[in-house]
This record gives sequence, structure tokens and C-alpha cells, in this order.
Amino acid sequence: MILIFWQYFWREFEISISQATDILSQIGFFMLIMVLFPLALGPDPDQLKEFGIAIIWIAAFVSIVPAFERLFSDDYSHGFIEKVAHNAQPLGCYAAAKCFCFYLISTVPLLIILPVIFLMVGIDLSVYIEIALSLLLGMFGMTLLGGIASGLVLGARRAAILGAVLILPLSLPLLIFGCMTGLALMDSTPIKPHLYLLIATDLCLVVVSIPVMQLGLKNAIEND
Amino acid sequence: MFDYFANPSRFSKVARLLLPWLEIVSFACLGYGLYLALLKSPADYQQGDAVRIMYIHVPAAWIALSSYLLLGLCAFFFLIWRHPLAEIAARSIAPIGACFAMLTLVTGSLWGKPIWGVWWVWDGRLTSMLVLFFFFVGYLALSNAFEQTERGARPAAILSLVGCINLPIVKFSVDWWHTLHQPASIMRSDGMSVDSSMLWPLFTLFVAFQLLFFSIVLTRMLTFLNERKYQNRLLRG
Repeated sequence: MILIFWQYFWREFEISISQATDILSQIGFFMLIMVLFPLALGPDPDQLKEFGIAIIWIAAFVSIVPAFERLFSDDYSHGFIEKVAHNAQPLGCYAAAKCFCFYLISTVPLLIILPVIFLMVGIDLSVYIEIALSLLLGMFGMTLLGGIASGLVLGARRAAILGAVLILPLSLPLLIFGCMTGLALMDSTPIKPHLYLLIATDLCLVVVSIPVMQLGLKNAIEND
Repeated sequence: MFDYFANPSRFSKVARLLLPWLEIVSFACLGYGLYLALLKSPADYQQGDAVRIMYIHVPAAWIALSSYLLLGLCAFFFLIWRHPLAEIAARSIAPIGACFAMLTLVTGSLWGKPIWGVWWVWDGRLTSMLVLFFFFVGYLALSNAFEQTERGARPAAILSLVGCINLPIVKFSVDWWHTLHQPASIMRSDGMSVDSSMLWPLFTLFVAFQLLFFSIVLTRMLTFLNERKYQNRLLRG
């Protein structure tokens, strides 16, 4: 099982690397959302510093949502998911590998440009590790939610907007706990409780999302 | 008994018999309940007549929550036994549940303005109720998003099961986060804290709303069954 997982992971990883423009456009989208906030809120540095972490979370979540459209849809239209099912290999394992790769591909670039974002909104670089850690945890859960939603909307009309409608209400706990980490950092109160809550949410999502993705994918290929 | 009524033609026969009675009783309860709530029950000593919004708000909230639970149960039965009636029931419940969730939010907002001084606060109960509404909307959007309507049934059922996580959050939000919305005063461990003069209109309207909910759902289910029957006939035609 673990072997199959890594096989799918490497396959997915090579495909994603070969489509590097997708990654770049997602990061560009993230940066653009970050630019919109100072223009809308006004350039007051104190205010930006206060809202900075919340803005980063919103931008990270919103910028990843359109990307979920390509999570399963290519493999679906090329018939790869059907091939996985025909080879009697577990669809859940395939979906988990897919999500894990998607997570790394979309989150690591985000963390690389995060210091630049900090400079833009005037957050001190000394909190980088904490913010990066909470974003890593939050985006992990977000990717699993995206996996659930994009598995369910396979083959639907206007799948992208539908996926967003399904993902965003589910993502609220992650957003709340993530931003609470940021607030705790700003008030210099302990951040551990909030990180533990994020980890707990992630673990629950791991348990729920893999069977749900498996069901969704199975249903999508059965109804073709 | 469950298997007995799960036959669509037997179900529609029973439903057709039951429906007029449900409607009559629900409208009678609605009339009597509204009379009790708006005219006969006393005004609150602090809130004045604004307290009468409660008689709509609280039953609507109960119906919204229980209809989501029912939606989840139907989705579960549909996923496990693939029974077409369960799918039709889920499809019929979702928009009605969405209406009751909306009614809860709107009446709550109208009640909040005179009592709290604001239309809306980002309180745990209000936010989780809004999320419940979004789950109803998500179910409706997903179940109607495919070229063949039947194709949307299973994804939507899975989604509604995932959304059941929100139900305990709505219920216990007032205990977990101490905010503006008041905690439960009917279903609590140390007994009810509402006087009987206010309890009676509340329960009458709750029964009225519940029966109204069931009669609309049954009507929708019968319509869906007829629609499928004619579609099949046309296909065979």
C-alpha cells in the first residue's frame, strides 16, 4: 500500500513539475489578492499589521480554491482513475497521494514567498516560523477538503464554482483556528492551543476525507 | 414496517391518504398557535412584544436542525441500500429545510435589532446556523449540477453526510462559546426555564411547523414520483 502511494505520488509530482506555470499562476493569484487588501483597507501600516495575518490566511485559502479544479479532472477525463480502479488498486490511496502531492506543490511555494508578503504588510520576520507552521497545518486540511469537494463535483456542470461553494463553508474551522494562532502571536499569548486545534482538525479530516474521496471517485467512474 | 412502506406505489397510496389530514391539522395548529402567541400570551417584562418573535424563531430553528438530520438519514439510507425513495425524500427535504434555516436567520435578525441593538453578530450560534444554510444550498446546487438529474444524487448524499458534523456544533455552540445568543432554555438538564403561558404557544407552533414541513415534503415527494413515472413512460413510449 505504501509502495503504491509513493508510485502515485511520484507520477503526480513529475506531472506537476512539468506544468510549472500552473504553480506560478497560483502564486501570482495569491500575491494579487494580497495586493488588493492594502488598496482596499488603505495603506495605514498599523492597520495592515493588525489585519496582516488574517489577510494572508484568506488569500491563501481563496487562491487555492480555483486550483482544486485540476486535482482530479485531468485524470478523470484521461481515464486514469478508471485504470486505477480496474487494476484493483485502492482509489483512496490514489486520492491521498494526489492530495499530498497537491499540498506540497501548492504550499511550499507559498512559504517561500511568505517573507516578501510579511514585508508588504509590515509583519515582523521573527514570527515567520510560527506563521509558516500554522499555514502548513491549515493548508493540509484545506487540501483534504478540496479533495472531498473536487471528487464530488467530477463531471458536473460549472464544477469550479460549485467546488468553491462546497469547500468554503467547510473551511471555516481551519480559518478560525489559523487566524487565532496569528492573533495569539500578536498578543504574545501561547499559540500552542490553537496549533493543537489545527492538528486535531487535520487528523479528523484525514479520517473522514479518504473514504469520502474514494466514494466520490468510485461514483464518478461508475456513472460514465 | 420500514420495508413495507418503502415500496413507492404503496408509499404514495398512504401518503395521499395522510396528506389532507396533515394539512388540516397543521393549519389548525398554526391558527390556534398564532392566536396564542400573538394575542393571548403575555408580553415579556423586559422585551415587551418583541418576545413574540420567539414563537416563530425557535420552532423554525428546531425544524431547520431536525430537517438537516433527516436529510442526513435519508442520504445514509440512499447510500447504503440505494433506495430511490430515500433519494426523493432527500431532494424534497433540502429546499424546505433551507427555507426554515433562512426563516430562523431572518426572524433572529429582526429579533436581534430591538433586543441586542444589532441585526447581526458573529456569534457561534449565528455563524453555525448560517453554515447550516450553506450546507442546504450546497446540497441543492450539487444535486442539480449534472446533465442527468439522478447522477447528482450520490455526490449530494455524501456531501450532506459530511455536513452532519455541523449539527452538534449548532446545538452546543451556545455552551462552547459564551456569547450574545442565549443558551438553551427548553431542553436543559435542570428542567425548563420557560413559563407555561409562553410554552404552550411555542409547542403548538412547533407542532404546526413540523406538520407543515411534513405535508410539503410529502407533496414534493408525490410530485417527484409522478414525474419519474411519466418520464419512464415517455422513455418506453
